Amino acid sequence: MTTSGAVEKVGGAKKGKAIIILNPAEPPLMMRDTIHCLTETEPDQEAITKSVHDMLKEVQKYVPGYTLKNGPVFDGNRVSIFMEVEGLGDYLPKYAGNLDIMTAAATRTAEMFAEEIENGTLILKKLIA
Amino acid sequence: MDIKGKKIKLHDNALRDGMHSVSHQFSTDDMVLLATSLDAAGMALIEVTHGDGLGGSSVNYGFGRHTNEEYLKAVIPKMKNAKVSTLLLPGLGTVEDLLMAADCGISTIRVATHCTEADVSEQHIKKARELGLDTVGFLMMAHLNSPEGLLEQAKKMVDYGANCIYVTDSAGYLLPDDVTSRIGTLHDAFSDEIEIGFHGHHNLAMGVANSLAAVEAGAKRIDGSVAGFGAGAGNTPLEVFTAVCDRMGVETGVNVDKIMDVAEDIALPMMTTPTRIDRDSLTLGYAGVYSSFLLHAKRAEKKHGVSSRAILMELGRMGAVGGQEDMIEDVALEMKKKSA
Repeated sequence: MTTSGAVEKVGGAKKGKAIIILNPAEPPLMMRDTIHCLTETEPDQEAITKSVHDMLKEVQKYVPGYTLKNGPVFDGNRVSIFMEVEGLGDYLPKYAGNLDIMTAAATRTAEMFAEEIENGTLILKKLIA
Repeated sequence: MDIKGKKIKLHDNALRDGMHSVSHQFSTDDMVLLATSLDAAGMALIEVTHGDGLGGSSVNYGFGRHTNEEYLKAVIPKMKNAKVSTLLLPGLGTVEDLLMAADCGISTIRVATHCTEADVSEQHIKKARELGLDTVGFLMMAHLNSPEGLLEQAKKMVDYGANCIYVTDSAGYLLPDDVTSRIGTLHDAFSDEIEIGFHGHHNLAMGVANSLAAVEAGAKRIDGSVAGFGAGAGNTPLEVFTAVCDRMGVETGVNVDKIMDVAEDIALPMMTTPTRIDRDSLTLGYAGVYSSFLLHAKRAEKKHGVSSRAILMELGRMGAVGGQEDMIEDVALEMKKKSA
């Protein structure tokens, strides 16, 4: 599974592409992510903007430093959002939000499983030793 | 300056760096026409790809009119003497892209990283060497590292298997003395088996002077493009550089009359906008900004009503590196918010 693959399989894009850029600037720059999306039909600006803000709130529950710096920008059939991810700074520097968000997402995933087990929507099979 | 008797290899970048100035829209016919004309003029190496290299075609940098495979397959079989190279920026291009290009018959791969990030080139350089390609480490934005710092990065690339190292002045920021110290430091540190190259941009009109400084300091490969066809104010104009080399007794293998004709009769008519030093491309060189940001900044000016020169100055202050084209619109939006 590559990041490009995740853009397609998790994000639902017909074709996904991930680009990594390292910037060695001092003092270090905060982790940034830009997401561009090309839509097949005229983008529904209101629905997209609402969806972006809803998801932002959802992610902020477990990554408080996840912020929308700019956008969504609508340019024909291109939709772009400009994100910043600030880490908690517990063990790693605050600018390394890319590492924090991965750990936080893993924890959140485990919690989602736990929630499903608790409310009975996921039943684990007993392993026979 | 006495560089008489030196022998160098010229590397034309019009069909790769020039892709930036036509928003990656060359037709395969354009490419074949320009490449065959350069070949006939005696050009040793010709680079062919999307402006951002293998895997460059994207929303962020602009989509190519054709795929890199289509361009390479159109041009390579038509070459009589010239060899074809291609560019790969790890993070954009993958090893699969490299295998595709090798299958198409490229002779040279240039693995490009920011001038402090040679580490990310290991996988691609090793694979290229394994494939038997002429393997070049291409250290971009070279003004952002000291001569000693560049040497440290170059040593890594040589360890991975590169047989040639480039000092790449992506921003057209370097002045001749800066080139002398950088090229000289690399040249003195490596044996003759490792060739040193220089890639210039003409944003401060230093392309030719910087390339001469590079030759004097020991560079064996010099990049440029016919009619300067490249990002920003273009690359070192190779018809001019060839003429200067001829006067100074440097052997390039390129015919002066022929390359002048290619510039005037073939390259120039293909330019959708003139490649020249305007206030924006001058700002690239002045502020040390990646040359391919130029057209993206002009587009951001149009869409968001913020001066492209101000956007470029801010990107220079931030220390934006090659590939961060997304930050151009972000900077424009930030400036718009502040002025509101």
